[in-house]
Amino acid sequence: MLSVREISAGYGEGDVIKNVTFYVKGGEVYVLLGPNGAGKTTTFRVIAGILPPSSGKVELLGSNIWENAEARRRMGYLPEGDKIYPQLSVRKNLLFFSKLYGVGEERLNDVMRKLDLLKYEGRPAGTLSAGYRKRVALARALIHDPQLLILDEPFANLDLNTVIWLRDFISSLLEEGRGVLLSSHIMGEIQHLEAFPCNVGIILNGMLRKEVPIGDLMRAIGGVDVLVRVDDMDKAVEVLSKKFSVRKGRTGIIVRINSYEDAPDIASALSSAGIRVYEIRTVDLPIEIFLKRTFAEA
Amino acid sequence: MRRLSYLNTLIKKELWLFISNKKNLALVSIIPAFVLFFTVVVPMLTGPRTYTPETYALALKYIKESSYEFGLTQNDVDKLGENAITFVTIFQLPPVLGIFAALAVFQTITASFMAEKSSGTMEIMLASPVEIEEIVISKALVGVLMGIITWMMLFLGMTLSLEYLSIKYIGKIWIPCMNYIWSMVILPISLLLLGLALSLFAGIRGSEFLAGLFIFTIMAAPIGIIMAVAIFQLPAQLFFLLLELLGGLSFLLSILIIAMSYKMIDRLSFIRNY
Repeated sequence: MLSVREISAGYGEGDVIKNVTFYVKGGEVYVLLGPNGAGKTTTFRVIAGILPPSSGKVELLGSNIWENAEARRRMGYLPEGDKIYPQLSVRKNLLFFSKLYGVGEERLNDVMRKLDLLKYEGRPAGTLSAGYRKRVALARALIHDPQLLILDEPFANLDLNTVIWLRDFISSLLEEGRGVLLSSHIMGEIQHLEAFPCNVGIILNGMLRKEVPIGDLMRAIGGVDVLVRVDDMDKAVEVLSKKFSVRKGRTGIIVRINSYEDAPDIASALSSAGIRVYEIRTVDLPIEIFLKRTFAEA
Repeated sequence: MRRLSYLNTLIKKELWLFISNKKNLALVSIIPAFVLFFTVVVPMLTGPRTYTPETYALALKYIKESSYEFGLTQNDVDKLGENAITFVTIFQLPPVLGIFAALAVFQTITASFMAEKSSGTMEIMLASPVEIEEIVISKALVGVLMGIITWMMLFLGMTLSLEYLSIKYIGKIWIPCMNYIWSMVILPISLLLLGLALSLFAGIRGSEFLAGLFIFTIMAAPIGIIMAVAIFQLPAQLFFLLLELLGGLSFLLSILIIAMSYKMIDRLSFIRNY
């Protein structure tokens, strides 16, 4: 579906990414994993038709997207952050892009329904919660029914509920046979992709250093961490340590769980012990530490 | 230039964004209304009451000596009496009109570029099949439209005021002279073009510093001319000559800057600062 061959690109002062090559098939997900500044966003900008490459080729379903702008119709791009028009209503945000892509009202309504946005259609998009702003951005990326979705750090700055919802949504896109290309520096949040054909490319200093199947990566991680903030920390540690691996952090308790699906168990264990829960959220394992620990050669 | 198939949609979006921004609405509605109030309504209501006998006599002498420059005969000036001063005061306001028309264009276009770059929506548009020229043209067209609306409001306000004075005191419709057409139509449009050129340059380069510098430039020259006329008591003929020079210069400068800006348009210029 997507063929990225030896692309190099930069912003005028030398190349930021160098000779990046990888392939994505339909129904398959490719994760570009790397620390901040590694070149993930630059790579995506080249693939999405935003930043021209200094060399190399990007082909989507056989068309070079830099020679044929219409080929971009087959991909949807969700950049990091919302990137929506905050002052325009949800409907107008989507209507604009539906018109750009020649999409009818029916498809627009379908996408809004699918992403549960109809109830907010008249509200300025900037007044929505972070989770719903992400939905608007995702609706925009999907409005023209693209075969490839490019998602740059889709899980960043989202609450746990939205993360879980987004993970399920990405799974549904993969089930529909679409190709998904996403970047992340939060490994726990790509764990669910193990159920799909998924490769992970590790990018460091603008170069793709290693490609591994996601299964290998997940075995190396061995679970995900969540941060729990409660009113009685000592009691909470006592309760949670019966079921999970627990350690005290600076701002709360770090609980190691197998997957985010186990997060509700934390809440129920604490509330049945009469402990008040203020917050449960994801904790990022710094990717540099992970890479050092797992792929020393990278 | 490649096909402009998405221009309609882009213009509609620019208008939506413009209307949704209260600052923009103020720029093309409240500000011209304020300008008209202070430059037209107040002089018409108060007349030359603030003048001393000396300055009053000097003003009338100035008007009588150069009545032709204002499209009036000696007889018209006599009939207007002290209202001739109000007439000429309004007549000499076109530089202000030009400034506001240019500022409306400038604000609309630079704000649109800056907002899209800083919010990252520019990136989304670049990822769509839209051509980069279409993005620039849509912003330019909406900016020019807002400049023309501002100009029209001020033009109508000032022209109708002059007609009111002429009909009431001279008893006939006043026929605008060449000086008026030049300074009310050609000069503002030329300044409006300058506003367009500078905003495209600042928007494409993505520099707020340049934007600030350009606003100063747009305002400085016309205000400088008005002040020079007042301080050095320059003859009306010279005042209109300076306005003609300003119009011609700003037109040439606009063409030059637009051509330069067009050459600078590339994808990198829209994402480099982001």
